[in-house]
Amino acid sequence: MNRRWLCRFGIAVACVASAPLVRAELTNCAGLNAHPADYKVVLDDFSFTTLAAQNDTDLSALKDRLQFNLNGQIESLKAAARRLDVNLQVPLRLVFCAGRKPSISGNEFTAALAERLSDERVVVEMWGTLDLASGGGQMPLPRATIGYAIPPVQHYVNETEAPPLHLVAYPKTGGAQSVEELENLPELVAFALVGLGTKATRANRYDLAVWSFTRAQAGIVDAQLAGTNADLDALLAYIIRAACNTRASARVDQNYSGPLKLVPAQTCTGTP
Amino acid sequence: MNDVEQRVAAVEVRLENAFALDARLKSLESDVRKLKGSSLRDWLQTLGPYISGIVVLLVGFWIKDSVTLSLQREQLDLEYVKQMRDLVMDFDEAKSQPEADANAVGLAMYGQFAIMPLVERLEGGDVAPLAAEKGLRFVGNNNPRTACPKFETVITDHGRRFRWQTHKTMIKVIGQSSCLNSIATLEKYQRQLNAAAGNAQQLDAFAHRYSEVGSFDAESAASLDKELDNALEILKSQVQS
Repeated sequence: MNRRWLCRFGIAVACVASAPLVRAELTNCAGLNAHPADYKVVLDDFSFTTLAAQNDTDLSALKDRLQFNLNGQIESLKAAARRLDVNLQVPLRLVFCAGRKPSISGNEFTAALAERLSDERVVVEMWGTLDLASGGGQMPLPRATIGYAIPPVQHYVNETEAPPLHLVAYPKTGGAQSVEELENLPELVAFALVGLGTKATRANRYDLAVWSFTRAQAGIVDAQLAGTNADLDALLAYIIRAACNTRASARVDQNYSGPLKLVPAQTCTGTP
Repeated sequence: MNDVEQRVAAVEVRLENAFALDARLKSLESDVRKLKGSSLRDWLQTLGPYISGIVVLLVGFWIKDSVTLSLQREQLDLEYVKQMRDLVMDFDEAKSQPEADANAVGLAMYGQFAIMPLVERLEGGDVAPLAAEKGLRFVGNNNPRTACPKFETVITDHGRRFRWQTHKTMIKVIGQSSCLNSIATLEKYQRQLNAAAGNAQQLDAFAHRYSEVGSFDAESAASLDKELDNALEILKSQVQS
């Protein structure tokens, strides 16, 4: 009798633990107002697909590790820009939107929201769901689906020319590197630079724009090594085109007197 | 005294009586004439006490009525504040855009009282400002005559109280609320913006009308200019039709 009850209790606990928890909540991100002059990389809260994943201490601590690593990546970008040109400032910072969990499809990112986020200088917003996948009798491995929205691209560029929403499933390259991938999210910085370049061009900050597009191009090419898709290809084509158009704009802008004036003229195709 | 003398004396007495009667008659006639020719003043003198009583009564009633109305208005305002406070809290804690929109429209039902709370919601974040914009549009559509001058005070504000994003939203709302009297203000705004847009220093000086100067650049200026174009196009098309 007791064994039967224990069995039922065990099944119930297993059901609760594996019950889906994902519930989209697009709360207002009041933190966007801080540091109004900086461009922003927005990190939303992660959703957990099951209670087991939510209770996993490693997964729960993932956001802190990600924050630490992304701050390091941004500082590294700033240092790289300064090495290239001492006057080249990269005003980029992380912003956290506590309690904000967009749906994994990113349906909430309408044109109006994209315009608003772009006006708030958001260059990329990242959200996602985390889960634990059983690894054939070994320790369960983290698994994630991460969404990236690039508001400036969504606002200024035709969707067919440059897709603004990207969903990436991790691990991409096998279990061994999955944790490292999740703690670094290499695509995030590349997407952020695409958004930064798009905004910097329109602010007539040509040097920053071309530098961002160039770095973003390298990042997207790296991401393609782990598996390419049509969206990444389209985004890469946009980056190359936008960089070319930015150089062309710099050459004809009489208020600009930077190094891009020296770059020989090129024929650019398509809209920036 | 003989008979004749007695009769003469009686006639004399009757004659004197007749004179006396004549004198009284004349006196009565003159009084009647006076009564017939009485002036307004006489009437006022007669009715004065009654009229002043009525005036005091009316003034008293008017004062009591206006004080009662004023008190009732104060009570209503207080009631609005209490109800709006709850709606504003719900607004800030909304878990999705549709929920925030619903709260904004609920707030907008308070008409002109909701304008400043909704403008304040424009100042922070992303979901709340989009909902507040819908609320302001609702107020503007319901009562443009009251709302439009209040909308204008945001974009003509010299107190550097609002961000450029708030100005942009208000320009959009003015265009969508048929604020035809705001055309001149929008045109002036656009002239000043375009004069500053070509030069970084002038643009910086122009940005001092906003609460955050550092976030305004050439991209923001282009975005504002586009919004001004849209609003003016909508309003001018209504003037022509």
